[in-house]
Amino acid sequence: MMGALLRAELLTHMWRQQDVWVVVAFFLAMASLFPLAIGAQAELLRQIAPGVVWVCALLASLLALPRLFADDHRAGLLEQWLLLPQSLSVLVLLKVLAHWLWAGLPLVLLSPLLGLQYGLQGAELLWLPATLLPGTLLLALIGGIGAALTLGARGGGALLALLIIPLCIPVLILGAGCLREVLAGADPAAWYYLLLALLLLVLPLAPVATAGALRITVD
Amino acid sequence: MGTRVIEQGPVSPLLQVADLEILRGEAPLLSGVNLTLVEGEALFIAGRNGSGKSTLLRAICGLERPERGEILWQGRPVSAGDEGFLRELLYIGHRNGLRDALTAVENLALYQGLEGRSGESDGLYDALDRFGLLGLAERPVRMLSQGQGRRVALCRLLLPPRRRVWVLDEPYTSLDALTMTLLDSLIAEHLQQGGAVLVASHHQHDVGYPCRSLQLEQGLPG
Repeated sequence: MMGALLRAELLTHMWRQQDVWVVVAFFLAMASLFPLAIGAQAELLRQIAPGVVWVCALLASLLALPRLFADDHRAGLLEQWLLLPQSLSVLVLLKVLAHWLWAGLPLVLLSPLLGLQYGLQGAELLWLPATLLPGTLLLALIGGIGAALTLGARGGGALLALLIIPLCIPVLILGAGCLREVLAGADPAAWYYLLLALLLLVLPLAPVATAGALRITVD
Repeated sequence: MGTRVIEQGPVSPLLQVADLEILRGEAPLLSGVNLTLVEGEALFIAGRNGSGKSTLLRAICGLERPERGEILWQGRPVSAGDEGFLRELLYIGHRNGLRDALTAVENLALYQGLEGRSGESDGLYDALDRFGLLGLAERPVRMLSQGQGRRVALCRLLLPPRRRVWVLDEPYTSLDALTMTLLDSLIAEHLQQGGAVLVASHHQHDVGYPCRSLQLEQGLPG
């Protein structure tokens, strides 16, 4: 089941590569604007790097979310999912993970590139993907609930953002906080463990909430 | 607004709908719907646009929450997500449930995969062949015509696992005469094997299988 779904998701996105590029380009462009606008103030750039990169990752993640269920809903595929004897939560989890592979993972992999623009060096550059990896997963898992709730709603995209941003605040605080500790030369372990703990908490719960929301909105 | 009550079948029923009421906004779209489906029986649900045919079928599948009434599977009330019932149910809605970006065979493979049956691709090609789609198997669904897409969706009737109840919403839409005959013969075969079929359709034709019909009267006033 898992293999078939991941394969189908992968094939689907081979046809829709522009979706991937739009999210990645948005992330890179947004985060590149700040150094250009602020100018060559190396210390200031270093200070704002954690916050800027994380906010940009959050916004880029939001950009991809409306597509999570919308196409399958319109095609009548989602209602078929509701009729499968398998657990809907498990299907939702797989679907969200597949979504993250194209909408989240590229941001993680490209983030060191942004770090260079903010004057980050050495191990600091590696902490960017290290925090964004659980971070973007969390954003995708939480975002799934919003995507399911706003399915078929008018102005769904904006509504989705308003709904999801407050829920993402803890992720943002922990992720950016961890990076700030790294840049200050302190031990970031406590922040990082909290971020991972949040992921462990959300991982089993969010798909259940998303599945419940889908049962309501697929009508 | 009421609907005709279908008399009870002689043997123990597979599926029963008892006193179903579904609202659209404040007004009832369907009310007092009773029906019984036994093994080897087809029930044709007829009615004009907006009479609630699709809604009735969706409610039976648990995709629509009824205001009142019950759906019974083998005498046992079922709620949405009832595993035992879902294993015996095949629903093909008025939307095909296919991904545009995937080919016909990839779409069917996804359905098989979700059922936990990966790697049985021979059956997929056989099914596509029955519906005359073998040449189009590797073509993305978005490049298929309306009727061809419908045929891909109907291929699911031929794929394992065998389900006892088929719920088909407007299955004849956009089909050519040849495929309509094929569908009729598939339904007839399914009935002979002890299955049961619910079909909603607004075009009546001389179906090639024995069936009763339930006429839904005009739903929402105005």
